[in-house]
Amino acid sequence: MAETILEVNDLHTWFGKKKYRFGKRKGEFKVYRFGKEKGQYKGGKVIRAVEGLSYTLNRGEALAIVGESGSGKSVGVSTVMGLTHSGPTTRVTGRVTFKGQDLLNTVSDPKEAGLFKKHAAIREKEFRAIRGDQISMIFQDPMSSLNPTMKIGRQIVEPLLWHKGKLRQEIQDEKKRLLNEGGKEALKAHRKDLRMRNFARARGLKLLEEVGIPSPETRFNNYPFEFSGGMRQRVMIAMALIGDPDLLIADEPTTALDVTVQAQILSIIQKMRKRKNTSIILITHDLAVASSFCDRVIVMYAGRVMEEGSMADFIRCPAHPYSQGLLNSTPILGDERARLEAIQGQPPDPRNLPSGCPFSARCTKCMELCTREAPPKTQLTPGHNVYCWLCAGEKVQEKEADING
Amino acid sequence: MAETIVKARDISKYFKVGHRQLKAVDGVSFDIERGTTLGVVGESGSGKSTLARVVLDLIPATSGSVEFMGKDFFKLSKNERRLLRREMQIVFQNPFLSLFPHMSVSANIAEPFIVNRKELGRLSKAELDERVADLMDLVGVPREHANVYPHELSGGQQQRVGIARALALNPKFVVCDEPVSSLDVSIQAQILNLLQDLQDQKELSYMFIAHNLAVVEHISTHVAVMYLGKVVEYAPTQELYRHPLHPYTQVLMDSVPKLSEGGTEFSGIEGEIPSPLDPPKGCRFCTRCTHCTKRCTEEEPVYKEVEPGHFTACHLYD
Repeated sequence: MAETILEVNDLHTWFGKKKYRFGKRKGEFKVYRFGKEKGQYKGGKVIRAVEGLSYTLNRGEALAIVGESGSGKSVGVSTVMGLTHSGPTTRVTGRVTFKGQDLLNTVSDPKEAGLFKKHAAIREKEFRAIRGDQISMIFQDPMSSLNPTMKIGRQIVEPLLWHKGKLRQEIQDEKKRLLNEGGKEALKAHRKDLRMRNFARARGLKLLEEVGIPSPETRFNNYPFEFSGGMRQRVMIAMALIGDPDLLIADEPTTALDVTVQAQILSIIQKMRKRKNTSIILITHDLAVASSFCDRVIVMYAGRVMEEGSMADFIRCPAHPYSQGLLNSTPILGDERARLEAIQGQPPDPRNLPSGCPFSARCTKCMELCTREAPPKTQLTPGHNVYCWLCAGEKVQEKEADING
Repeated sequence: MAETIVKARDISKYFKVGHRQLKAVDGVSFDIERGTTLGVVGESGSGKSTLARVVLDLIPATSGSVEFMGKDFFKLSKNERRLLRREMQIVFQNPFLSLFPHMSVSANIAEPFIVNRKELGRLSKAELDERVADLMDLVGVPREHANVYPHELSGGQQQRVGIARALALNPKFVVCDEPVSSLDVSIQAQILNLLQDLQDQKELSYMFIAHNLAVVEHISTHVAVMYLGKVVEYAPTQELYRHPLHPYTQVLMDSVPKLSEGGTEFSGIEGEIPSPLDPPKGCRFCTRCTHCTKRCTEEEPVYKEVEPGHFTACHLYD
């Protein structure tokens, strides 16, 4: 049985406007007390960016989260990373467990946690120990996620210097190894290399070479603007991988790149995954990219999961009308259809989601029930679940009888 | 024999960068017939967009000529050129930036009629409204959107407005400069279908620029592959996609991820496109080519017809 790295259970992320506070009085953080069924909080409309996202990720597994823009795929992972967390305008509920540790620390009773601010500070501190070290992330636009005023070398080793304990341990191990092999002379000769900065630098250089940057020694002292788009993305990957993370989240890592560079970047991520057995969450809207190296896929639409399952099952027999539409509207090299079968209509406004299935307005197979009730989860084969009334079987009759009677 | 709408010969565009010359487009020739689509693919920096702008004379060409419907476009007088330009339009990549943000959707679509009021005759308010409404129906923008501003629309709808504006004066030739690359897949398919329908209805000719090879294959009748300002291969779409001759085209095809059930290995090429300021000697692709020989680094290959209708510039096919 493979080790479970990440477990996300019924994750909800909702956004509101700042002028509406969750509590009535200042200082009273009612955010915890709101029941799940009460979607609205005082005076404003809630954007339900993520609604009930659940998945587990084993070591070495690659999961693709696919969806259009606004489907909540990015918010979902930024919540896992702790970049989006409960606050005056945001509400996060659910459970995220990373290697047995609860990341969200959602406290059921506010009194128990003491003051909200203090609680948040503790959480942030704990999170920093994990972020960049055990979980790291590659963003879509490398230029806006690299610091333009810092040389890339410093940026690459930064995660290492943030997590000094781990680095110290590694230096100690190296010292022991040298001592065993060459005695005190060897230790003395490598004294400079064992300094924290130099040690980190050596690691950074090695990694830069691994991700395919020519002459890393000189490139180490360059600024981000001196790199091309593909090279910057390599730097981002090096930065994400330097802490040897257990989980790598790639948020549209190749969307802004040319096909040839895209292939290079994906092959680097793939190689790293094989070598270090890293788990990967790949967020993309390109099904072809997702299918090329992910084992499992989650299709999201308007914040909800539409279909989840193994990649092979999904490509062979997509069950949800949205997944089918997505596959049919993707132009594929070498296919000879004269026309693409486009999904009609526009994605819904996140502030005014239709009741029932969010896809009902664009679905060609929409039934009356779809516009009234959200579809339940139906298991087609083990691990392949779909949220659609069409596949729900006898549950449809039950529900209809329920409504009519 | 179909009528040739655009006949471009040896178009070059050099930019001055300091004391050096940047050859953005270097000796490109092509023909586009009525009702067909020329797809242009290439990496960023290969000169696709510059080529489109030079063909429309949005930036003046350094050398070369474009014959548009039998008239030498660059040699016409300013006024004649302006008149002829109504027949050629462009749809841009970023739909929001190409619309006037301070004007409503209907005003945006009506703008071409107002700009050309001298030639078309001044239209009354009612006539103008009718034409705008017709155009909105044509591209599928609901009429309720006539008085909203571009920022209130989604990307797909904005692009439809951009297309409506381009089609306002019934052009014969439309340049589409990456019209779908900023859109979601489902919307992208809608726009591609729309472009195809319009082509069938109005016998439009397109020059379709994109970096997504699958999209280009879908919409084009002919495809030109560009690399560092030069066309390295040109052929009818099916021929090019089935038998890519130039090593660069082959590499491009291999790099496209494919839908697969069991996962694939990526076989991209190493390296990136060299700086156009300092292109390699000989064949421009020689630095990344796996078939590179000594001759490739010294002598520039000639662009020639290798098979009927299939042109390429590579020493492998001498």
